[in-house]
Amino acid sequence: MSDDPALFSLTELAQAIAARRVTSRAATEAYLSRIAELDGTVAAYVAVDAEGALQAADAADAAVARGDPLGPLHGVPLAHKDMYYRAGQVTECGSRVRAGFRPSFTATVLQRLDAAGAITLGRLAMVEFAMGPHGYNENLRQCRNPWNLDHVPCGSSSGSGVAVAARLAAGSLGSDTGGSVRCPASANGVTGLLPTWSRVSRHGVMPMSPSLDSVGPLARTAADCARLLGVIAGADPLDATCSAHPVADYEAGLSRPLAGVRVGIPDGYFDEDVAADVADRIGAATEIVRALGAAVVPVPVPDAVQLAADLHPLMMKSEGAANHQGWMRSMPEKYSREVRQRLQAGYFIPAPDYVQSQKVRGPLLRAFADAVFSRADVLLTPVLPRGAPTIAETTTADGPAYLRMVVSLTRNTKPVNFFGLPAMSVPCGFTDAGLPTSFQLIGRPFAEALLLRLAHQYQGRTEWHARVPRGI
Amino acid sequence: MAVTEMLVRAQNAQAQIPLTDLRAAELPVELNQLAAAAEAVRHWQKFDAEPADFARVLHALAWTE
Repeated sequence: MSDDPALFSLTELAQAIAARRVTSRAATEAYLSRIAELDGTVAAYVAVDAEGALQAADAADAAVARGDPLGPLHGVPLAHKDMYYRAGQVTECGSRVRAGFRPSFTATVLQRLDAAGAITLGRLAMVEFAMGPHGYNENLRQCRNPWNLDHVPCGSSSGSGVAVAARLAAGSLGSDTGGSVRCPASANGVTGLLPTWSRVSRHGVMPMSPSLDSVGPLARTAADCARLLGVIAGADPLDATCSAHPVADYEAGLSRPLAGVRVGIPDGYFDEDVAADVADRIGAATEIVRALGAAVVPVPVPDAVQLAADLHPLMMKSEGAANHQGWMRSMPEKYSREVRQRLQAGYFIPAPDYVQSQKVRGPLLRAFADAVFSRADVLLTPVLPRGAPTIAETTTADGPAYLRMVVSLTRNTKPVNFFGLPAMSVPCGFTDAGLPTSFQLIGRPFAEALLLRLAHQYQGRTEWHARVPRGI
Repeated sequence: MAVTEMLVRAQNAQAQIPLTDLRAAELPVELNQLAAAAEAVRHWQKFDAEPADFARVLHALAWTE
């Protein structure tokens, strides 16, 4: 293991700080040094709070010296997508509409990270109001893929994916409405987790589409994601939708044997239009999963997946349009043309169609579960059907062409949000062009522990997740 | 009935969203896709289904070891 604390995984760093092998100040300074060196190129951060982070690090080190009880993230520097409210501090959601906005309360997830001892390095780049899968934002510096600066980092949690990949933070919270944790995790070669809808509180988190939004972690390893999820998951009286389902000890079961676990390989939908190099890496990953002791079984994909994929934008745009209607009328010039256009369709969707999308959601989920989870415990699919596109390839003014670009990036991720299921993005190699690629694990509701266990053991046999981009 | 540019313009008299001529002309492409998606699941909808039932189904299907 390197002696540079910025190169430790999140869990390694937390352990090193608790064992007094590394101070939180040394770790924080290491990250600030990398940010100063590299962020001018990749633009993962929109704001860095060096002074605040170092003060918090010194307080964390003092607590270690006193022998205080330490939380599971004690002294660990994190950074989050710029959409998590902290009382009195600027949260701008990648927008000009919210420029200078200072909320009066703090998001539940930030309170839980604070209580666990985490340190915040700053606010990370995101697509404006989380509305877009490519990862750029004309209101911000151009956030770039650290593996190839000409390519998009994907989004909307673009800064989260890039910061974790470039070792500019130990971990990060993103959010996922149609793939916004999993796509940037895949594009940047890091591990990302979409929890079951309602697993994590959204109180104090910018809404995009409340029926579909989930808060999820991006980090280097599945064990890191397990640590973060264990801290942020669980009931919250301030979020009426947040589930009271018991929270598992996600780390305790990571090494349990996989014998008896059935991993489904999709026949239909998810295997369509997949680039040959991505299909090859997914095939190789499948063989490793089999070697770990899991049973690999074919699973016919039901029609419910295509129906869900097609209904997802109807639900998302209806809810997004409602959230933004006041500002769209009063200050339309403060929206980028792209986001203004993405929102527009929502104002012309018939209300009965929106209500119907809610009414059929349960039956479609049940149809998917009956077809898939009767045969397999987990479905293994590609995240992105091909490597992340170039920035130029995703920049289009033409409305229908823009829609095709969005669909190409999110086709494998957005049905999962419609079903409310948990899913992970796990690095499994590189495309022929040298860009990271990942597989997606989709599980039953509240099966995060199983997904993390499978991903953790896969990462014990591979080192794709440990690679660091060197060409920045 | 297909969504047309004329229908978009008429509905926008109520929605009052800034809309260029180009967008008013191309929005029907997207809106007709969404209308087709809604049409495709009409037979899945039951008269007496509860719109919030999804959360119950989600918990009913929860994973157990």
